[in-house]
Amino acid sequence: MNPFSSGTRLRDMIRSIRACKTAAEERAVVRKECAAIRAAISENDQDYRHRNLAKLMFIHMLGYPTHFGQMECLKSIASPGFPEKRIGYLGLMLLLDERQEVLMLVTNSIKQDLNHTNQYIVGLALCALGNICSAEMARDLAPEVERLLQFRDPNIRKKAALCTIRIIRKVPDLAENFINSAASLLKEKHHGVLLTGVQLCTDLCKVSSEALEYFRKKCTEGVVKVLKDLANSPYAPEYDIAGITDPFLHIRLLKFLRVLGQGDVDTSDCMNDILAQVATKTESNKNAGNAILYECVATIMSIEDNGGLRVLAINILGRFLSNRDNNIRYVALNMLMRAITVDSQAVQRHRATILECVKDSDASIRKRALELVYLLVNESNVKPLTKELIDYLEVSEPEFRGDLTAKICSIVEKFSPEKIWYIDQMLKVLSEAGNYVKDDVWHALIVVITNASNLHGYAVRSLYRLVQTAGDQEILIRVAVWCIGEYGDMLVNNTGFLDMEEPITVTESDAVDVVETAIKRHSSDLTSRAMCLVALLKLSSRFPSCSVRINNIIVQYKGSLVLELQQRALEFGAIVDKHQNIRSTLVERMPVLDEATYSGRRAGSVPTVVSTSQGTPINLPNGVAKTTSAPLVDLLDLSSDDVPVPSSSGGDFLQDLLGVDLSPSSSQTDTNQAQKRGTDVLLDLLSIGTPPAQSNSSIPDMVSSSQDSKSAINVLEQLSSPSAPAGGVSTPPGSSSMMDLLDGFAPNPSKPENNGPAYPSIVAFESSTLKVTFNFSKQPGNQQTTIIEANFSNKTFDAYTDFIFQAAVPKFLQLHLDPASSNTLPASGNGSISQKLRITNSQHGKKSLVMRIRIGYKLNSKDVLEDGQINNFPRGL
Amino acid sequence: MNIVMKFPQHTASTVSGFDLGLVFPKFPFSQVAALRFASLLHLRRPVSSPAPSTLSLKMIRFILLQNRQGKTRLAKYYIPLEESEKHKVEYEVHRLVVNRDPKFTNFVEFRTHKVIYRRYAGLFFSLCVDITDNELAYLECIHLFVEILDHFFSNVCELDLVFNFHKVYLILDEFILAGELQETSKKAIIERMGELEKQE
Repeated sequence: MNPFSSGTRLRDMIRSIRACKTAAEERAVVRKECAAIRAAISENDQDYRHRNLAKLMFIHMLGYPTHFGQMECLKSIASPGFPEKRIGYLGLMLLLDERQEVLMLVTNSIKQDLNHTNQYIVGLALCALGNICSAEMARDLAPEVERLLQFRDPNIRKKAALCTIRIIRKVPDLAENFINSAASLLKEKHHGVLLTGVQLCTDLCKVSSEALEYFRKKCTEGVVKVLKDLANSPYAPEYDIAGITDPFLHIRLLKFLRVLGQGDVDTSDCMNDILAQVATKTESNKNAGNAILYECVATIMSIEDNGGLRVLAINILGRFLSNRDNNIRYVALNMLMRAITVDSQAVQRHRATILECVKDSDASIRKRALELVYLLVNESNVKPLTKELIDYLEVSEPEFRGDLTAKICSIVEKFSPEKIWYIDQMLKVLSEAGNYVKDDVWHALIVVITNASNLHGYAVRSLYRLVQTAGDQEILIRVAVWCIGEYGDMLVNNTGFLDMEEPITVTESDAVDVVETAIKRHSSDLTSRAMCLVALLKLSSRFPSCSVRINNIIVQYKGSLVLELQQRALEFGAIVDKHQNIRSTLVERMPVLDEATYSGRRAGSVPTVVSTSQGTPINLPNGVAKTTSAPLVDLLDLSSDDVPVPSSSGGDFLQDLLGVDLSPSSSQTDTNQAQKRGTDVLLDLLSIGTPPAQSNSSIPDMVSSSQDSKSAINVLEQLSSPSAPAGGVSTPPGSSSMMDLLDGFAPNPSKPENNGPAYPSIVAFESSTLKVTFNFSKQPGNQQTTIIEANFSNKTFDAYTDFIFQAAVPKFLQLHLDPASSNTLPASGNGSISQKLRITNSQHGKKSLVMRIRIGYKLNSKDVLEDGQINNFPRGL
Repeated sequence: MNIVMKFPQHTASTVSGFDLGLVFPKFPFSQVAALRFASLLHLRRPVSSPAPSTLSLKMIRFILLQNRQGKTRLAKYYIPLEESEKHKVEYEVHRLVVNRDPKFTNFVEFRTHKVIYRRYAGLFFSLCVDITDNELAYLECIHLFVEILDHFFSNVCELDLVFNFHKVYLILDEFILAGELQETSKKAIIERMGELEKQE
């Protein structure tokens, strides 16, 4: 009977779910249905199995857990009839994916179905295989699929072709087996088979250079001919879209030609004519035609040089760019980004239009255009382009400002022809969108200002003026405060006056006003306030007349609740009050900061990971470049089976550091380090010659990263450790936190006795309070027995008493625990407990170790229990 | 812990070129293995030639069919994702597309990929593809799919898709397989569906 037709309860269930007015009602209905399905499953009810499965799929789609139905899918697949199999496979594809172990069980069913006499059942099996096959299944079933590429029914051939794509993506080694059968698909007349065959050949070329060579030699002409026939084919109602016969096949063929032509002159020559024909003859008034033109342009850009064709392509893009349809303009921008490497002059011609696109109301277009503009900038056009962008910054939407600011800063830094221009532009950006400017950018600005000795006066006067008008930009204020602190005298005396400047009269107390307002702004953060205090100290020596007033301001912060401010206020107060004689030498102007060192540090000292995962536009000029690096961190990539999740956050962190991941935790390290970097420079800027400012580096750090307990501890350590004045300064930024993160995972210093093969130690268990590491050793001559030395360490600040470790193992293992070295675990990792375990594995070589553990202890006389399971034992124990 | 579990794929996408089957056959990817992998990558990446998988895979990552309220009517993933991650993706994609002006492009960048979407009455059809892939072609592809549905259900509406969700999946399986286009003829797909119905 058919579960979906007469009197079905699936329909009723959907109705009653749709009738629910609240989420609670819906949950109740779903719970009831799930209970009924579970009951049916446990009774092994076969009549309603597929109806139940269908229901489960619907429930799954609503977002409820349905894992209990997985086995039903497998049973349904194993049953003989087509309807059961059909629903079973559907469920398999929806409820399971390639990473579930259950999938292993289905390999055999699929294998049988691939050999089934009913071709519709073969079709079902191929479909499931194509959508969820894992690498292991790919290896097991590749011969069946290869055979099916020659099946008589075209529906099966095309499915087999796509299955093959999945297989070779999973296991590229298998590609060579498929080259010949794939090549024969290119001769097909059936559109579906041809389409999938072309796609298969394209994919084969990507994974195997042997295939690429083969297809280049044997198939180029054939493919060109197929495309020619297709382009010239008469009206075919079945495949017609907007007057074009099968645009999808057009596109696949063009894509395949691109792969063949790339890097091979002869092959490229071979396809010139047909590309020219497609580029000129295709109708461009409908989307389908434009899609073909777009693909054709991409192919022309990628194959080996042919001047004439490229002109044609750029002209098409020019037409696209002036199209009224946003979609077409978008793809034009996208493609121009690739064209720029081929012919930047031609792209430059469209600069004005592209610049207009930066101001488009559609964020997608803006983003593309901005990235393109960024690539267009060179020494000769940097000034007008920057002006345009900065003008636009004033009116741009807030959510776009971050990107825009980052790009402008990067352009200005990269191409500035002279320092005064650089300073001017940066100040404009700071006063428009200062809050979007990254720390390293404004630090760089300060470095540049200190290096331009003839511009000190100019810079400080400009900043003074800007602060009067744009006093709400935090970053601008920071730079202004720093410059007034250093060059306040130049502000008052108009030193180094440039011809173009407007005259300005600033009294000493005006200058102090700026700093005073800044420190009292309620929105100022700690860094700004701390900088203000330093500026005040400096001014107290530069402007003796204001010394008393300055002292009064400083005094107010002696009672500050923020340790950093209080300390500075106290120490600076003491300098102003008691050490008049040394004060002026103490607060001399900062020595010129070395630009090369700073930029080197900015670029180099941070571990490479950070720069790759940083994602800031500085390193990633455009979308194209982004994609070349993206696959490494590709979130949505296919090739990811067989890799269960690393079981503890620890391992992941390590991966982050080594550049494999882009999960939030990595951005956490990233920002941490960025901030570190930032404050480190700040430390440099502030501390030379002002001893009290030493601790500056740690405090903002602590504030900024307080969520991250690890680095908070790190900062605390840094604070408490007696750091030599210079030591703190010269520590390369980032490296210390790096060490810290790695610390926990470095192999334990106490090496296991070396008997037999050595096994790496593991972190068996880690929680926020406790860490357990295991070291392994074997007794010589007894492979079955493993001796584990467990080490426990305490991550909190309180000692644990009555510490007990318990472990449980499955039947094939025998476990013996020796007494622990102690039952008290001192706080903060200042000591550890070790305990020996002896495990005998009766299934040695077949099964690996697993263990459940429970740890109990008293913390502040309260009982605490922690449980865990250890699955990550090294292989072969 | 939950946060870091989200995207377990990365290691594999970079590693698969190194023949991980040989190094750790069938062995659960333990932390130690993760350590070894990480160091392996670190050492080997600069010297070895780019692994095949670093070539961009131009395939459809997932297809979503959502209504304006964000209810998912169809979700097909061609890449493995955790359930929780799928829900997040659906939520994010819906938020991205639902408020866009009809005049805007039909393309939105989504994480490291791109979503091509098209709105039909209250339904959004979204495809997630590679960032360098042919957006216009996928737009055409969505339209073809909608035409097929329209033909199959004769004048399709959202309720058809709700009550016959399993059929929608079956049609999709005849249209797209393994993230690639399988058949471009509306007629062929409708006929094939007819044959399959007869088998039931």
